[in-house]
Amino acid sequence: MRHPSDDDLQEYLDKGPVGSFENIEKHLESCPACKENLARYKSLIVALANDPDISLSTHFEKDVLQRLQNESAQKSSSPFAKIMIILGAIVSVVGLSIFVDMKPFLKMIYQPLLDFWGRITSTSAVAHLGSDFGAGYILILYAILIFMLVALIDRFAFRRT
Amino acid sequence: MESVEANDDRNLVASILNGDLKAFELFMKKYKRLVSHIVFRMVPQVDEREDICQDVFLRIYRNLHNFRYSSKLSTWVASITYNNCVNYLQKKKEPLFDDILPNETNPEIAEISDSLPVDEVEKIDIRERLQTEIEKLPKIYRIILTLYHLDEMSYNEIVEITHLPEGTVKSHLFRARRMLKERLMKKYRQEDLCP
Repeated sequence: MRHPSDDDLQEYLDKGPVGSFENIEKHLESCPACKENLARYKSLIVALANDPDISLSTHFEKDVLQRLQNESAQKSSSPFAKIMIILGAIVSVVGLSIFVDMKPFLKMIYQPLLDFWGRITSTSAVAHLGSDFGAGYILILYAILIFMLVALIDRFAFRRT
Repeated sequence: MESVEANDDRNLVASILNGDLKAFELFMKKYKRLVSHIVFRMVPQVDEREDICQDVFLRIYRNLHNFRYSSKLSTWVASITYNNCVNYLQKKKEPLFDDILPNETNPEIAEISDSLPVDEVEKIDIRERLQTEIEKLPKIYRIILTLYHLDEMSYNEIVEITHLPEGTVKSHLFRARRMLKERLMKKYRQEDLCP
């Protein structure tokens, strides 16, 4: 029989008595070179099964648990944050509706919605209170409102994890 | 009938899913060896390895409810670890397969190694040298060697983890061992000549 290849010898070692390797066994009995090569593989396989010097820090588990707890703390606080953002948006809209006559500003920007908002502001009992506000203040208030709405949409529509 | 280990795993997973963090701590103690083997073999950046191991366990925790016991828990854990490392390497633009050498052995090395007696080879500090040589192998060889020898996984389990065909897993394993054997023999010879 020809000398078994390295792959043959490895297969023989991996499968052991389960496989049918009579030819190889016969050859090994009469070939010291192949027997030696087989022994090298045996030594290598034994060495490969030894644990390498790999170690994680002693506080590894604690660190992971800490990260886990931080994550869950963030999650549990987020419903409160959501409620606050929504409440903030509602209060802003209601506040603006009550104290500010939004007609000039709305006319400028939201022409299509003017009738709807116009009805709300004109029927408000305290609508006249807001008439003294300048357009600059209205713009700032609206900027805050729009910023909050954008943040709200961003948080709930695009950053859901 | 389920093995005792599989039964233990089921109980452990059930406790974790019920929010028992102590159970998750036990889970980490049980599987950190496997996770660290894979991460340490695949990720060359030493400083990042522990963080990646942490990320793996966080991902496992978040996805544990998806585990359906269609495979062993260890295979599932290894799978998640392997995928995490592959993602990391892709982000870092590190090759996983590109560093595989052409399928040829160096005849010169083979010749030298063939002339070495076995008992002398056994005398050398093979363990230390072996680790150095393993580090020089292509990543995919390293990981297959680790899963097969250190973590005693079968070809089927390695196929499940790496998504490589069984023939490829086997040829990578054989080639890795052949390369290691040849390199170790070569080194030994050199040191013998120039101590």
